[in-house]
Amino acid sequence: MKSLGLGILLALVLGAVTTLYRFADLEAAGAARFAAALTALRLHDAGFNRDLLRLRHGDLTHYDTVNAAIRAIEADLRALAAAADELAPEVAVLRLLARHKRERLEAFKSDNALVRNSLAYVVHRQEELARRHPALTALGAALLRFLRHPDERRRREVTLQLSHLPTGGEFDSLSAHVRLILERLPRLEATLGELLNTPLGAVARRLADVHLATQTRLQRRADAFRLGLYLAALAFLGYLLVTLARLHRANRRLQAEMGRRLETERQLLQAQKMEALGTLASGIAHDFNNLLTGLQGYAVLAREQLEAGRSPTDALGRIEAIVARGRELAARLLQFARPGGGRCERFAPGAVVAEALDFVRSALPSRVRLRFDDRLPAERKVTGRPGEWQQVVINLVRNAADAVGGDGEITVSLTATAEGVLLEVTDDGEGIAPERLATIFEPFASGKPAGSGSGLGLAIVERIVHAHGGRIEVESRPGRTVFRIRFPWQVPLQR
Amino acid sequence: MRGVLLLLVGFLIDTAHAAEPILPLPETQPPATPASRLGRRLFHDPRLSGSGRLSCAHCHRLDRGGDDDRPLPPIPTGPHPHNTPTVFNARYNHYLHWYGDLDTLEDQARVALQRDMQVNWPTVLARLAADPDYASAFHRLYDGVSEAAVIAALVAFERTLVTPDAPFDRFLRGDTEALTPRQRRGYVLFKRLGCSACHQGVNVGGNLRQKLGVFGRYPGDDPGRFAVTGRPEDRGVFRVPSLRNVALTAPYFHDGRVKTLEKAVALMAELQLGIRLRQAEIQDLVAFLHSLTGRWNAEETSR
Ligand code: HEC
Ligand code: HEC
Repeated sequence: MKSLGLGILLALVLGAVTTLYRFADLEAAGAARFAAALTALRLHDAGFNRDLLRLRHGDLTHYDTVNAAIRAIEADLRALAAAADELAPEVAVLRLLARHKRERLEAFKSDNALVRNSLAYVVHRQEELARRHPALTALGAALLRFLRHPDERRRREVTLQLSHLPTGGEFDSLSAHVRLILERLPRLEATLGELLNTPLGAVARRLADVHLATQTRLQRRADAFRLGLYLAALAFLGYLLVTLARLHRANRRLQAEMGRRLETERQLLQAQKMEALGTLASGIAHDFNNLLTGLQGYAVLAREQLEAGRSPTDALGRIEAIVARGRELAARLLQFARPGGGRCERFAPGAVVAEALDFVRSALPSRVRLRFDDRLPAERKVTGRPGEWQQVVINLVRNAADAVGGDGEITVSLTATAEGVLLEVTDDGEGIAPERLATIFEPFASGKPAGSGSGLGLAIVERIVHAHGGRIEVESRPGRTVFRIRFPWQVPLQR
Repeated sequence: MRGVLLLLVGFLIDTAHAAEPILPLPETQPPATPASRLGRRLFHDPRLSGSGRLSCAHCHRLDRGGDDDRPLPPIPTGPHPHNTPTVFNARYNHYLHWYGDLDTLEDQARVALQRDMQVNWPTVLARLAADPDYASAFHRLYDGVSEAAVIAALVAFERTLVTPDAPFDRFLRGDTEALTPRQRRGYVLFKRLGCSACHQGVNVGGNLRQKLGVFGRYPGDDPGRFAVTGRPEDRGVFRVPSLRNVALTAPYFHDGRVKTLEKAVALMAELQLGIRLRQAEIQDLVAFLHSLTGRWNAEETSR
């Protein structure tokens, strides 16, 4: 749940960053191209206008550069249109102006070529012809005035002078050229003026200003956006840190809890063991009593032999043997009572179970018969914790003894199976009621009267069996109850 | 920045050549490219035409100056059929066709295929795609056979059709011996009479439109650019043609009416300049026009 929310937040932030990054990139590149194209356009237009003047004055004598300039302007306009579409209307105005220029350029080129030719012709011929006819001097003067101010009055003056010319041959040619100049020169000047006044450059400059302003605005917006993004990223980072800290704390709590539980469990186990030991105490006392009785008997016998002047060696030997048995008994008890289940070791189950039965036997009522049926090959060993095995056996036998009441038979058997050792504890008691069968391994679920035990016996058994990787099952009917425990040959490692 | 630099360089070059109305061509042919090689095959391939028998090269013979030496093409192209102009140096024309009504080689190639070759696009594209050589070349260069790819390849080839090294270009570059004395006299006349007011620039024409018959009437009834614009002032207006390789491209004028260069020059002087040339002047001018013939090496386009 938490990780889903985190994932969504992360995806949002990532998405926003990516979009902004690419958007900003595109926008910046587009703006740069737009600005570059505008600059190029203004330069090309300036070059175009300059070349028009040079053409008009005969300083430039071919049209390749103006043609190239108008094509370059058109290419710039295509670049402008491709670079930014929010200024499309302004670019459309530029395109209109450029188209107008291209069209007027054609008129300019045609008229300029003709006017220059005719002027050259007139200048070249006029001098030569003037020597033959005086009217030409007046015509030349009138034409000169017209060239300086090509208006209607001076035009009429030239036309008047033309009418004084003789006709035929070269004079016809001359007057044709002069007429061409009269007709085309004003038009050429008008076209040139129109071309130079077409405000392509001025509009481009204004557009550059508008674009710059737009750019600044966009830049400011992008800055704000970026700031927002930065804050969002910070918030995200904070959230991440808080979550991590919370997770860490929860983890520590959990670990402590687990430690506490383990400790409680260990203590429980130990307490129950002591409890089992307590139950055994009478039997053990009986055992020690027997030993003491033996000791006393042999001590009396040794004294009598000494008094009779015979050697008591035999009796003393018996005493030593009895003391040794007593020490052995004490050692085993201590071993059982030692806290903790002990470490895993390899052992022969028969001996360990027999020993446990020895402890428990003497605590059983006298009419209860306890049989041990060890069907394991002698050399067969298992790994496990022998102390816990004994605790299992003792608990189950006590449980069985309770079930049979004062009189009955309990059989403990060990059998080898493919997976491990099968420990069975069978009694011929009253059996467990079916409705209780499901809960007998729960703590305090015993059917015993209060005060007869901690109520933990079977629960502890189940826990130990599980800790050894084994399984436990019960089968019960009146007259026969079997606890079957399957210990594996090896305790699984992860336990 | 680069724009400024180019402009500055352009300015310097302009002023260097300002005195001369004619500019030289580059000194070498443009090198062949994979696209131009593909275009060369297409240019010579009659399968592009509707009839399957006509290629661009039929009318634009590269071994004959880039035209067909006929007054008019064998098949009529519209109500006012036109003499076939050369394809050489066409890339340097500001606009194309006698009316000067097409701005780019791409537009022109589309018109040529449609009007001169009666192309049937679906059939042609299928034919090209079925030819493994074509198909692989088109795939390598243009992701497949398409109308636009065919035109792009043709144009790539046309851009290599440049004729450098004309004697006059060598003269412009400072080799005064490149022209004979008569040719040099012809050039001076060409400028002084005013031919160069119309025939100028790198292609000696091709960059402005002009009325044919400023001081007289050209025979025939071709309306000129009026046919395109419908404006009265465009009646009889034609593109001033390039005079490069003009010695190889007889007959002359839009209707191919004039068979010799001498007659064409004399007619030009009369109609466009209002003067009658002497025979010697005509010879000088014609000699000069011969110096505009460049070289073209077919090998270079297939290399
Ligand atoms: C039937 C003959 C014919 C064929 C085939 C033909 N052309 Fe042309 N071409 C002409 C004529 C005629 C013109 C001039 C048209 C006009 O001005 O009205 C011309 C003009 C041109 C021009 C313009 C030259 C200039 O400077 O104005 C080019 C370039 C050109 N053709 C290329 C091609 C190409 C490429 C093909 C093949 C796709 C082709 N032509 C096929 C007859 C032909
Ligand atoms: C006023 C402009 C103008 C002037 C000046 C001019 N011409 Fe022309 N010239 C043209 C035009 C326009 C054409 C195309 C005529 C047509 O459409 O048939 C042309 C065509 C030609 C052609 C034929 C080209 C071809 O391929 O068919 C030649 C040659 C020629 N001019 C030479 C000259 C010479 C030499 C002079 C100087 C004596 C000269 N011109 C002066 C405008 C001019």
